Amino acid sequence: MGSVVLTGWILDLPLLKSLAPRFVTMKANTAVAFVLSGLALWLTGSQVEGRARRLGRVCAAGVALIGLVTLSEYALGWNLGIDGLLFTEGSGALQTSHPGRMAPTTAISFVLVGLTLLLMPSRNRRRVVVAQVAAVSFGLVSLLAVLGYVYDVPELTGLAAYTKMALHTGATFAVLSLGLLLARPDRGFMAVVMAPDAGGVLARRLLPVAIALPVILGWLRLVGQRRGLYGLELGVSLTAMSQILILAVVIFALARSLHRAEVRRRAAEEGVARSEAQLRGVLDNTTAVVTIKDPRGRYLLINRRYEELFHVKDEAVRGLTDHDLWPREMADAFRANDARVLEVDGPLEFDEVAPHEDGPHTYLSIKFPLRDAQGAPYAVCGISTDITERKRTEEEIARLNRELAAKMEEVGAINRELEAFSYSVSHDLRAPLRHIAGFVDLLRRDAAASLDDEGRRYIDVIAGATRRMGQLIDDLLGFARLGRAEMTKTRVDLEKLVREVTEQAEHENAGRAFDWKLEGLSEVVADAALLRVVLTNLIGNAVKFTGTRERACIEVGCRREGGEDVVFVRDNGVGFAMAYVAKLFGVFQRLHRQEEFPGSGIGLATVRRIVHRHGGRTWAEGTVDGGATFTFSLPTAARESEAGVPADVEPRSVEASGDSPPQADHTTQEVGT
Amino acid sequence: MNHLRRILMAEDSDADAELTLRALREHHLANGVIRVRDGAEALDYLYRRGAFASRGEGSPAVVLLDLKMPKVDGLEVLGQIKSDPALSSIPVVILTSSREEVDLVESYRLRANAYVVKPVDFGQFVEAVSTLGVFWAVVNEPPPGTEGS
Repeated sequence: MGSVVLTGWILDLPLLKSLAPRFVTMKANTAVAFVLSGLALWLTGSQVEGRARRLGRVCAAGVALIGLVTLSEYALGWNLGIDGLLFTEGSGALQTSHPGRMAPTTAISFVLVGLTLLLMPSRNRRRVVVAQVAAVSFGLVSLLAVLGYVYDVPELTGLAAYTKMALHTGATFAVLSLGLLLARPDRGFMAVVMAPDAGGVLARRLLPVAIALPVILGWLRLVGQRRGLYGLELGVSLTAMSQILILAVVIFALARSLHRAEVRRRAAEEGVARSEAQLRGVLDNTTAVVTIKDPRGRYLLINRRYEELFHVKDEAVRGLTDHDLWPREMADAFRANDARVLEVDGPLEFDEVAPHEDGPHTYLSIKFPLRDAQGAPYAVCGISTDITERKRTEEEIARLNRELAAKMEEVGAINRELEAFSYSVSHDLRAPLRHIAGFVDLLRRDAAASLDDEGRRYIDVIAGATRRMGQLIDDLLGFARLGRAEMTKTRVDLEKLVREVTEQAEHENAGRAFDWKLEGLSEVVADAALLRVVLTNLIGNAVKFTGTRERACIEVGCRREGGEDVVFVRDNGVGFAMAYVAKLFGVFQRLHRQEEFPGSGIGLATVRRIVHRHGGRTWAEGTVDGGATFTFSLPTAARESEAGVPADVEPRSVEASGDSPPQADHTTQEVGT
Repeated sequence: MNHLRRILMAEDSDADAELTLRALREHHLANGVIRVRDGAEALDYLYRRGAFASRGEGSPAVVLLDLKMPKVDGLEVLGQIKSDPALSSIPVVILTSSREEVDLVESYRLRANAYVVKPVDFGQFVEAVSTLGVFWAVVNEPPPGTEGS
């Protein structure tokens, strides 16, 4: 506004200088002071620093100086020549008491503006309030002047006979006043007006109404009265009526909106209370220990678990620190962890130790900063879970694992030793045996003539025993190798394999009569070579123990039961007493004398070992002279549901490789034939 | 008499050596046998050094090698023979008590020409030894440079 009017002065445009010919002009000094005020307001803002800020203060001081000097001219009646310094008042302008000099009210206002500009940026609360009072004061003075123009009351626009304040001067002052007040909305009574709460809302809505309403109504009343529409009394009544009506409506509207805000606030408060109760519930019922401490380590809150475990009360520990509650080293550790959380400004995990009645317990603590609305951390929250038991278990597991590893190492060593042993047996035990056999044979060849019958019989016995010993050693070595041999499971055609074995047996026992009965021999999953050993042994046994029968009836069958293929070999041989069943599968266990049925007693042990390695079981049934049935099972391939096995049938556990026959599972549908 | 070829027999056991010789004798092969008692002696013979520094030139038609011997064992001798271009063409037959698969695998890895497990039964033993003696020392055409009788 100042620069616009200055332009008017430079170009001599009356419109810009005084708005209308009948009004007084805004003086050049006034315009300059306004420019300075604007500059000062801009330069003393909160973002401005250093030299610019000082320049702003100089401008403010300049404004006050202009006002003061002009006032002194009025008061002391002198003329310092500043009024016409820039421009001289044209003769066409409205005559004023002192041409070119601003109105005394304007001068007073500028003094106040200067004061306000100087004091407003201050940190001192009282100074700001003074500034605000000053701003309001010159605002009111200018309002008065504007009203004077609006209501056409010349008395209001100036003091007595002195120069009057121009209309746009008054308006500019009003704007300036508002601007200055808004420059510091956080201080003094502006803080109340600008607050985001109900009071602020009330002030911001009612103040404009309170200022504008009387002005407008007063103007309407004056206009009506001057045009003779109504008299004084009616005018007053109408104004009063209108004011009552409008204010009532405004107040009602405001009250309603405040009421709604209140309802919302209360709902929000209830929500807050509820969520607080929820949080409290969670806090107090968790098995974790929860603490909240301020950055200096003073307790703000502990939960019920804490209270119970350490026999303290929440209210009692508030304000205390860890050093008041715990032994020094522990408190130091807690504080160090809290400090670390504040340092990294984020959540961290710690192992913390706290003393319990039964000794120290280990806690896994998650600690994190709590932040205020501005995001600054104001506390450290810790949630600690007792992991003593877990730690103990972990240590136990670690210990057991170490033991197991040691045991495995031991087993490995024993195995290696065993391997070396069996190697040695294989090599060293057979050598002397070979020598005995060799030289006995040489004896028989070279010296048979010089021996009598008894001597030759001895030689035969020695030779036979040597052969048998060689066989035993070979069998034993084979048995030992079984435990180490690599196993490759594939699908094996059981029928084909059994036929090969039976043909071999028949070939080796030419002249004997056999009735073979093979049934339900399907595919099984096994190591083909090892399975052949099993079948050779079982069928070989059947052939051997039916040696006394006229016709040997040997039945080989397979059925699927649960998750297993169950294979049996049944004969009509000499059988055995069930009392000895437990001995059958042991190494070197025999139920018959060598002379009755020859054998090393290692065949069934071999069978058992192979079947166990496949995850299956072996068992036997028999009666003396009533034949025997040897049965073994092999787990089927995982989760196979062929041959009509219902998909939901649980396969029997593979671990069930006990030594006794299985309990028949009658709930499982028997499939296969 | 046949043009007799030499057989180098490395065998630490006197009994085994006697039995082997006896078996070979049945086929009139025993006279061509040179017996050494350990791997070191076997290598001395092959390289004509030590006790064998003054022997005539030429390599044996076959080496019968026991695996378990003092000082230098059979596998070492085998490895040495087969890795030396001058000796690698000599047929080597492993003649051992061991049925262990590791021995078998290792012997063939070192390029043994045959692997024979000594049977406990003397009849079988005689048969095995004489068969391989006849094969290697009579039937088989040895590489050039093989020593004669």
